[in-house]
Amino acid sequence: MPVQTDRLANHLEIRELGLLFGGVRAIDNASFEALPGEVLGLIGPNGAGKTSVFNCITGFYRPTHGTIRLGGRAIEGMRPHGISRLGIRRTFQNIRLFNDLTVLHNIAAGAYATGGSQAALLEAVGQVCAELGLDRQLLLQPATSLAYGLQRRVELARALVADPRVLLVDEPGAGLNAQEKGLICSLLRDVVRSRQIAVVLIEHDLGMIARACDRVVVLDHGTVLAQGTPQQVRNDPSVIAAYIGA
Amino acid sequence: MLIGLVLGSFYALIAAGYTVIYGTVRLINFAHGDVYMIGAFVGALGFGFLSPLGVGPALVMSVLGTLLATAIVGFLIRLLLARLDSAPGSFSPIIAAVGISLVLENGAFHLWGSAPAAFPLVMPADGRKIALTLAAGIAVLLATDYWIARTKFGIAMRAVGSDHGATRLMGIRVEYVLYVTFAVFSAIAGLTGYLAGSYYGSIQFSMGFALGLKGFTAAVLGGMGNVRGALVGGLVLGFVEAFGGGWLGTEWTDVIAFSFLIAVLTLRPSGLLGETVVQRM
Repeated sequence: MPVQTDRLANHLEIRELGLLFGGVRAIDNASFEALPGEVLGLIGPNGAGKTSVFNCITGFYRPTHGTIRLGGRAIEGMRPHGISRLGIRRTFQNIRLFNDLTVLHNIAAGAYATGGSQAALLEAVGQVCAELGLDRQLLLQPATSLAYGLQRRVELARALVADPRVLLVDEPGAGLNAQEKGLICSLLRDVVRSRQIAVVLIEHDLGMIARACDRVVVLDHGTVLAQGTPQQVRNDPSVIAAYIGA
Repeated sequence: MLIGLVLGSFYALIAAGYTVIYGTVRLINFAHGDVYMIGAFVGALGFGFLSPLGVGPALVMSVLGTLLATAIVGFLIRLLLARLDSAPGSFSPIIAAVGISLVLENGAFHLWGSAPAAFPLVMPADGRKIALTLAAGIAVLLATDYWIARTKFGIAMRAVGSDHGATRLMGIRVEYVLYVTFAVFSAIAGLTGYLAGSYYGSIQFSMGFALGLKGFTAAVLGGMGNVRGALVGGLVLGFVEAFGGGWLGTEWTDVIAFSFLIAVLTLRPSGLLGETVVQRM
């Protein structure tokens, strides 16, 4: 398993991030950081700006203001492929596997930018499949023909195969049953422990957040409402108010 | 049968370009057949100019020159199309592709005239002509299939065809992949023009229109967006034309080819190797 030795390189820092859509503030001076070796939960009601934060980090949206630093290097305003090559990878709320490609080629596409030989690529695919418990017999099947839970893991494998420094995971529990959600939580914990990377997890299922996350950031209307351990934010009155609309 | 295979390999090589470009940018590149014509003329001019060096060096250098020139044409086509509105439903790219086709065809007409010109490298008129052309055509087909199905770049190209946004997040430079795709498949079209010129012995400014139409037909027949489908579609179309023409007369080949296309699409709307996509309600 690839182990990142330079832990500081895997540090994601967001300072006073802002994003305006016309007159709407999708993100409003949000600041938080994701540390190496931890899973950071990013939660909030629908429309809180969680996915917009991911889109800013990955370069799909250009922030109106604020800074995003990876290992101390400012990345805001860079193009998506450049940010990806620096080591930020993500999965999607609605699974976006490549339709016409096999599982093998889907995962291999994730490592395209890392260079290396065809043999090294196959070895990396084999390693990440073992890490995520994906049976090698699945490799030659069309990725989109797999069961939903397996597709989630293939998407995770595609993100992890390039040995990222930061992994952004967008609602991996959507559409999964309780057992599959538990598996995803365990896999994320294992990945963080073995790779010492930073993982940011968006999830509506607070049970998954409690199981998988070391710390949680709560967003509401684009602003950071609270930060802390899952237990701390669960008992925070402002968080409770945001969730139940009080 | 062999003549059908030769014809089919030309169709298949052009169809591969149509289908891959459609697969990556959802555009029917109507200028693709004209790049085939440009390849034939560049090859003829190059071989004629270099022939004092001897057949071997002139052949190698004129083929390389044809590949380079048509790759540049493909690059420039992409450069132009990339600057147009490519929003879904926009007619700009397809109208631009038709415009580029007309510019290339009419440009060739004004440069080289309307009369058929002799291709200077004439293959021997015996069985070797078919064997050589077929060997070259099949070799390019197999190399193309290998490149798309087995190499890292081929995987990236197919990923781009599936989802531009997700591909960017894999660190893949989508525009770079698109430029290379246009350049490589234009070079393949140019090489096909060179092969066809030396096979038939004559070239003409309008030769790209007919073959482009048949190449597009082969791509649809095989299943648009499916590379192996395009290769199979081209070979099948070549066979059907050769057999049908031999049976009813060559003046019937177009009637036979397009009747066959309509019959296949009626029975199998997604083409020979295309997959039927079930729309969720």
